[in-house]
Amino acid sequence: MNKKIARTAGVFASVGIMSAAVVGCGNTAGAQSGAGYPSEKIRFIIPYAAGGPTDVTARALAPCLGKELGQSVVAENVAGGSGALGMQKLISSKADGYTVAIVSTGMTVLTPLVNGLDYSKEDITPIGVISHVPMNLVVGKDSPYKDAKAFIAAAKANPGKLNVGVSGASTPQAIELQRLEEQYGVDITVVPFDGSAGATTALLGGHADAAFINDAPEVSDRIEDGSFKALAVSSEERQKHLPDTPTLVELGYPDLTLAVTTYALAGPAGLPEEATSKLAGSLETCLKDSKTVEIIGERFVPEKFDDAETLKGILDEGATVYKTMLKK
Amino acid sequence: MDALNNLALGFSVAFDPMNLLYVFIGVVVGTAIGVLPGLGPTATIALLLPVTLTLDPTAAVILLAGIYYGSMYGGTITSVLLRLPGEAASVVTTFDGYQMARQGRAGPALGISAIGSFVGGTVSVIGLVLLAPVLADAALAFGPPAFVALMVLGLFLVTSLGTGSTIKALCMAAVGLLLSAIGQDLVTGKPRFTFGQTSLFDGLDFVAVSMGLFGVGEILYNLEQTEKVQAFTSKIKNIWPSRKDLKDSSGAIARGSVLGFFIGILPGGGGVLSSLASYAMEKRRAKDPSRFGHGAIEGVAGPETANNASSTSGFIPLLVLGIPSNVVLALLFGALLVHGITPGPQMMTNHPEVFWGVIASMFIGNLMLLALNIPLVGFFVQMLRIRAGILVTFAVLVVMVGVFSISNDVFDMWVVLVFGIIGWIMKKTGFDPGPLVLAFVLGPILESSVRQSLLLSGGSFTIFVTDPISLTIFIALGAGVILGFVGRGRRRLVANKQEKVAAE
Repeated sequence: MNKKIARTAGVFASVGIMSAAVVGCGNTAGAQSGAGYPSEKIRFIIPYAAGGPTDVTARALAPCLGKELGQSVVAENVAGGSGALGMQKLISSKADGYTVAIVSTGMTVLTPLVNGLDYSKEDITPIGVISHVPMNLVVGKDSPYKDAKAFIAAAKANPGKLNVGVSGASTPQAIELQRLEEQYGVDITVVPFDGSAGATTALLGGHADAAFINDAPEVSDRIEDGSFKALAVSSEERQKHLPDTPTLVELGYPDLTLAVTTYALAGPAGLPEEATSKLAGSLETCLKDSKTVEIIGERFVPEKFDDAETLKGILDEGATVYKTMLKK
Repeated sequence: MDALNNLALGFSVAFDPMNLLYVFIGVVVGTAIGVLPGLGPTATIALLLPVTLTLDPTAAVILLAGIYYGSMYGGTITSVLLRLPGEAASVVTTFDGYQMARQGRAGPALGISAIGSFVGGTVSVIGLVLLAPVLADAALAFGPPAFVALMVLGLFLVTSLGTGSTIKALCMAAVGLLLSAIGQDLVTGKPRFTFGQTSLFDGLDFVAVSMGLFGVGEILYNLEQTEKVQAFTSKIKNIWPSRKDLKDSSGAIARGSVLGFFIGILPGGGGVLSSLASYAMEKRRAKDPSRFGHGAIEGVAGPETANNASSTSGFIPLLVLGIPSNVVLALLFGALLVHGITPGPQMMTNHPEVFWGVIASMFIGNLMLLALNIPLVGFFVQMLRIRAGILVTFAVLVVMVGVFSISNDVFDMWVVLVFGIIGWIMKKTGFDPGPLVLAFVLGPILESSVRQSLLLSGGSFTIFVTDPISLTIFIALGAGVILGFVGRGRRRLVANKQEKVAAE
């Protein structure tokens, strides 16, 4: 009996030791600032998993930024919580310019609102826009809806009957479709799928009537080969590669311009001016580097560099709209 | 003939000495990370992705794909030897594989897995060459309602597994489903049961839960046993599968290949489902189903074959439709995009050398894996001779590092420990972690498909009947359940009669 107790005690002792070991794995200190920024390597947080569009954009940028700054820029995926984990890691790191992140409007403004997190856009220092990726409202090639007008007329005639697939719940594009319903009375059913791939699958298989998804290369390829038809784009102006596709603004919805994923470079709040301007300068140069731009997607990179002020404006607008939408 | 010409092009690409080297590096790295519990292909490929940016696209994908299917081979090894399933598909292997190891038959279990994996992988590559375009389109017919039916089928299979009571299995499956509800609501995006923990927003991590329940739970349980029970060193019998083993498993391997190939094509991914279905099929077909869960070699051969076949045919939706059906394939998708190649319908015409080169490389890779794994079996079996104290400590260490590497979050290490304690208690009370872990994997797919279906139908349940695939699966499932009950009733009746006769 004693032996048995001893062995069970052994189990608890082992658990105790393992717990102690885990506690020991706390966070280690970050980099320190020194004269002449940057004097050491820079950590580049990617708040999404490897392989996704956020990751591809960030990884395309990292080597060029490193070259411009003269220090290596080390990309690190901190995925989880729709970007919240990575954002929190960025915010909690030292504002010395040695930790930056790729951020999007969704994770900066929308995610904390939806999940009741205690961070906001005020906790970051915007540096500059990397790219704007618009959404396309697409239908399959056999769809009865030839253009956006026909689609919207059908949605108005049969409220709630038309299904539109999106890449996830509480994404900017899902909210934009809700606004279409609430502000303009176009009642469609928004069905969240697992990423753009899920929405694409549903559309190809005829399970959804339309999809409102990123204008990523795999989608534009399908538009090109005719298996998808683009009804509308979410950007303020028409897309160069889709000259005949109207914008939502043209279709009579002047404020529906938020369904554009804006990727941007940001640091924690209170970044020193020297670091901010150096990072912004390097970003601007890199967005002219043909190799970098090719991977990010030429049509997504703004022709004229969108600086920190512009970025702040985009985040502010998003915050105002999402706050009122989510209160409902 | 077209397929042959294309394949010839593929082999000419794959036999390029540099590409051969990348296949080899890929499968070796894959096997190695598969063997290290907790370190999965996802973390490794994510880590290596930036490195491959400097390679040409074909070489990059060949390398990453090699890691992926190589890790499927390697994952078996820890499931059999230490009861540490690193990915969902290996959970099923632990049922009989670990029992075989306890009986001193780790060698045959690993040997047959390697052979089965090779056959499954090869059959799938051939299927990919001949049938890819046709099947890819057919797979699209599986919409949300069909996935609901498939997941329900999967849950039925889950509860019929294992050796314990069905009631206990049902309880554990229910717990698994509940645990899978943790995290963001899939439709509204609101956090559920997260208690304000950011780490819980994406739910519990499968690897952490499974490593805890199976591995750490087993280790804690063994700590309580005497040295004698723990050691299985004295009992190692033969290293190779005997002729009888091969004969017993040949049917399971053939069926597993076909089953795995078809399930793997589904755009939602089917790794777990394929090994589950294969296990259930073998158990059903067996003359003596009670052997299952006590070291039946078919129970290892079938699921391992199916698992590998499905991981290969999972490339069909990726390469033909541009739809990645699991996380690893999503990484490969990203890798191709970075190289300026868009996976999808145009890939075959625009980049035939990449498309066919990768396919041909998978054939070569499978051959290399077989050659690599067969001699390694002997080596890995020797690992069991290491003193339990050392082996176990090392295993826990690797598990912790591996789990941490998934999302660089200390929280996951706590999950392993907590579930380790739960696993220990479950083992003491006779609950099997298998149904829990498998239901945990199927749960989110079931939930999102149900809710997507209902959104699509405007809240009407008729969608499950009007969708032909869903209807077919539900009818088959209903018929199976009824037949099962009738069969059991009849057997009981016959048994009763015989008893009466005997009594008289």
